[in-house]
Amino acid sequence: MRLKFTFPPTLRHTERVDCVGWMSADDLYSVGEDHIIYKYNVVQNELIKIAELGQDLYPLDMHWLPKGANVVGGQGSSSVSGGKRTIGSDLFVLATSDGKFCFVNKTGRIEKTVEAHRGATICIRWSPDGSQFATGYFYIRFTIILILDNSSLGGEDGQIRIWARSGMLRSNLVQSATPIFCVCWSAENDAILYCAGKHLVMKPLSPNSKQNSWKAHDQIILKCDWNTVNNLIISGGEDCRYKVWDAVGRQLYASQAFEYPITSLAWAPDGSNFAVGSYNTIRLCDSAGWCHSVEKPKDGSIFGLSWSNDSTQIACGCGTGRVGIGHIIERRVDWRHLEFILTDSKLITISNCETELKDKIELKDRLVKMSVGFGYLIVLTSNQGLIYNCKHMGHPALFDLRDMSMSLIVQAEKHFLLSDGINISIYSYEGRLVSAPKLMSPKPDSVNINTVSISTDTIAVRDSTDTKSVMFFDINGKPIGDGKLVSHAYEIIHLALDQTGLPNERKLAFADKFQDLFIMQVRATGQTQRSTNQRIRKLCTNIGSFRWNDKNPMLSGIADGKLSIWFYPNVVFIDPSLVDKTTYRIESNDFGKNPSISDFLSSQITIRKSNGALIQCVIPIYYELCLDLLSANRAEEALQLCQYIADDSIYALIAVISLFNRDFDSAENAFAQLSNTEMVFCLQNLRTISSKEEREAELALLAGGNINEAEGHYLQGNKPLHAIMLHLNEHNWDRAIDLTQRHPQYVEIVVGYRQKYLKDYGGSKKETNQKYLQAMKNVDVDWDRIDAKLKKELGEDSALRIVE
Amino acid sequence: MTYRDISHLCEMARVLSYPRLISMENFRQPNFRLVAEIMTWLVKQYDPLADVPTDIEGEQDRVIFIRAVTQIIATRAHLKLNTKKLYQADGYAVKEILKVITPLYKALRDTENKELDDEDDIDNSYRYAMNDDISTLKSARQLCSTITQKGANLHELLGKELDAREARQEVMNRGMELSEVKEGIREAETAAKRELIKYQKLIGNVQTDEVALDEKIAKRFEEKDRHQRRLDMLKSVRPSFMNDFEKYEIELNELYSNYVLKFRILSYLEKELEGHFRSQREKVQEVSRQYMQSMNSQITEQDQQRFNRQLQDPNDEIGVRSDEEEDDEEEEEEDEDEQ
Repeated sequence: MRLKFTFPPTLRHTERVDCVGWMSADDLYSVGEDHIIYKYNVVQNELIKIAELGQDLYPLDMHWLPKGANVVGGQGSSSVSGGKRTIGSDLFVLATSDGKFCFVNKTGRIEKTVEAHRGATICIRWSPDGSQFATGYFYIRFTIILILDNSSLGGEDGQIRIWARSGMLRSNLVQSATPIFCVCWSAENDAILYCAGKHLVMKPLSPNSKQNSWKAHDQIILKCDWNTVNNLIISGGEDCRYKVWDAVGRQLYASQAFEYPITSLAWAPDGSNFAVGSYNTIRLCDSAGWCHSVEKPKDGSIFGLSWSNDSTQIACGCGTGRVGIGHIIERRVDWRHLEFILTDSKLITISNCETELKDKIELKDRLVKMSVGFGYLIVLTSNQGLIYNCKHMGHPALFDLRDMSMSLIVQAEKHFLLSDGINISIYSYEGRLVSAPKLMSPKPDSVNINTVSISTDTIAVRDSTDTKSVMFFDINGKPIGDGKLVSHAYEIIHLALDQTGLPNERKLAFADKFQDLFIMQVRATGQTQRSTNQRIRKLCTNIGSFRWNDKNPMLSGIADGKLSIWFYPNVVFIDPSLVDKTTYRIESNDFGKNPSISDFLSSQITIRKSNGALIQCVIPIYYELCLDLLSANRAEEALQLCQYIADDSIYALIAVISLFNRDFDSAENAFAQLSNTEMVFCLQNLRTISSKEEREAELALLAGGNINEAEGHYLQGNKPLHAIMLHLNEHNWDRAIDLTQRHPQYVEIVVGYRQKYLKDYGGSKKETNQKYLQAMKNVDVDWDRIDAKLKKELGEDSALRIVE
Repeated sequence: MTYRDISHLCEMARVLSYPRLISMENFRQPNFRLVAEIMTWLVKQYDPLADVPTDIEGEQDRVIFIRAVTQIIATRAHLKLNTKKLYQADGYAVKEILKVITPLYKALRDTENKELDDEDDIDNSYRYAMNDDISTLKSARQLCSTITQKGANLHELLGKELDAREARQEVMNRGMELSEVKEGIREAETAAKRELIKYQKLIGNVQTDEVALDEKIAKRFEEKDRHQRRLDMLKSVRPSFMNDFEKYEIELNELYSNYVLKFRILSYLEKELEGHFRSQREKVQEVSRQYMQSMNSQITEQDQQRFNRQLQDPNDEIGVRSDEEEDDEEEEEEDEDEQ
């Protein structure tokens, strides 16, 4: 990957340029110290001089209002205009060296000038979002103004002030003795990061929380940036290094010391790359920190860097007044035997490793995004989308992007999802728009690769305001279940749906803030109604990165530096004790720090190390074969396969899946091979039960211990005593007495057991439960009668009878 | 406005490749050493031979230094500096330094821009010329080759001119006499007449040849007619052996069909015979196999019986028994072989 820079000969300021910014994907605005605002259209190579500022106005920083929030009223109390879509934004703020900031609209008119301070306003940033609209407050966007004050006494101080979008001062957030050169917002708008001298400081907006500050560089820090997608921080300073940090201040990468100070830094909005500007140098770096490519324009220091919203173009403002526009080229994606390389901004080269043939796709417009998977290549250009079938590249299906700048493609087997960061839309591979699910609270940049997932029939989206919750839609855009959010206890960081299996067995894997990996059942309705607790089970702790297989319900993840593959994550709902046995682990020292899984195709796993190197790992093919056979209900053949391999984990796999598929023969066989005698015994016992409901109930208890479901089965089969005894066994006293209200003939049994329990274990405590106190008045306990009743109704050797 | 000033100073120093990096923080506190260092360097840039005081430790030394520097700058660069501000060595000094450094920076930038523009111009004109000339280049090459060819020809001809000139001169210089001319003409006339007579004779000969050839052709025609007549006559006569020939032809046909029939029958019979032999052979094999099987079963039966007998005899020692068994087995094998 590298940046290809062009310096348009017409776009030249006479003085240095600090401010560059993209209005839309095609229109670039630049403001130089020669007081001129230029607008440059990349497609038509057209330069328009928008406006000329006053001679005393030296611009130091500019920032466009993030898209998705448009000015409706002039005076602050504006609201989100729901259905209205605009291309790009139409207002930016300009910070000037005399301590003012101006709102400038896209026609170059200065709408408002605010006197901020006596010193220079070095840095200005819109908050990435402010949709407090949903929670009932006024919809207020914040601006941050940073002031470097030069008082007459000779000392300098830095200040961070927060302003409402109307230009009213809201608060003085930070007052520091050192100048503050750069400031940025957190993704959730609840904190800001600024650099003070050699320190990076993360200051929460709420006054009571503690700020986090750490020494980041050996010299003063000039620039920092915080990405909203991957939540990583980059910083660069006069020690000529740039560093990558995570959100709690751990250093992930530190570059070598270069020759000149870092004068500018910018994250690509999608968080995959960032650019670093220095004297006569621009570097394109991976999010892990290492450098993709270096450009050496001879234009002095790079003072302004700005990425377009689709993360494919970058503009740089240079010390000589020239403005460069860079495109990312030589991006590559690969899928099985095909490799696609973007050789120029409009040319894709395909190389097929099987036939060693090469092909080319020429696009009409600039490529924005491409993605390959499930046999289809999806190419988004600035005007339209194209879908190529990997088998024959000839005729792509075309579809219109409806004037939205899409920044995300997620593919599933039959559909794919496009998102512009706010809304999502589902397309089929014929290019037909299938649906556009309506999210509960759309928020800019809330939809990214970590917060949305799609499978053949389900879409999962993390809610943008309540980050602990997930919203599920079916493929036609209708909410699944009762349309409510499914909540987890902690913030969800990454989620992914499995790609295969029946819609009713759809599972979501997600990692929360504490890096625990959970499995959640998506559809849990009807008879298998479960509480949220039962729908979510923990699979693993300390997970780094995880990914589902494309063909089988396998899940791979990196935990504790080891690569683990869960062949059948559903096992957590059936028999958690077998989780360990159905897991395959690969230990290797090669993975290094922070590896991530970039692909999991059939039995091959591609791991990207933090330094960008790709490692291929292979799991034995027979697991895949076995899963294929089992999914085709051919457990017999799967067992035959096992005889050759004689591996415990594959037997465990068969046992669990057969149990889930109600295939008792194979399950029994496999459990016997695992020498899991109690399971064999249970299964044999299960077969002797004649009544269907009873068997179902027993099975529900065996496979997953689901008491509600078992109770449902018992009641359905008109066996209330079984249900009551089940609850007594579980010491579920309240439910047991509740059940007796409909079946009063069993009150005696419940009360009897309760008294016995209190006597044996409670040290003859007094009864305090109101329901039991009331029941005790009406019945007197006769153990002979109870025994007789139990024997009669449950049978001689039922497991539900409580034997002394 | 210090932020902008310092930032500019840093950038200009980098562009002018000042030997060290200047930090944004350097002038937060008064920093006379750095001011002195930068000023010394700048003065040297304007005038490498300028004499700048090196001692800046004492208060008096610093004043002398500032004064010396401002004087040099004033004379060399025609710039007036504020000595007080420079002496403060803080943000205000930066403004003064900028005054000095900006002309240098501008000059460098201008030359660079000019070079860049020139490069662009050259590039453009060159590219334009290229496009234009590529079409004419071919024709130019062709013209070149023709020019050399023509030149060579010309040269050759001019070489002959030396000889030709002499002959021409001679002829031009010779005097003409009337009688000689007359004589010559007359000679030419007689020669022409002789020629005329010779050609007339030849024409006469041709006519006689023509007559002779006509006669010959008539003779040939006559001969041909005669031969034709004879051929017709011969064709009309039927030869005597023809009757016999036809008779034998029919006879031969009959014989051939007879032969084919017989050959077919023969080959069929041969095949039948072969099949018969084969079935015979198989029958024999079958019988022998059955026989072998019955024999085998008999033998195993006998073995079984013997084995049972031995089992019933518990007094035998194990070692001995096994030896015997082995012997027995060997014998049996031999028996089988014989059978």
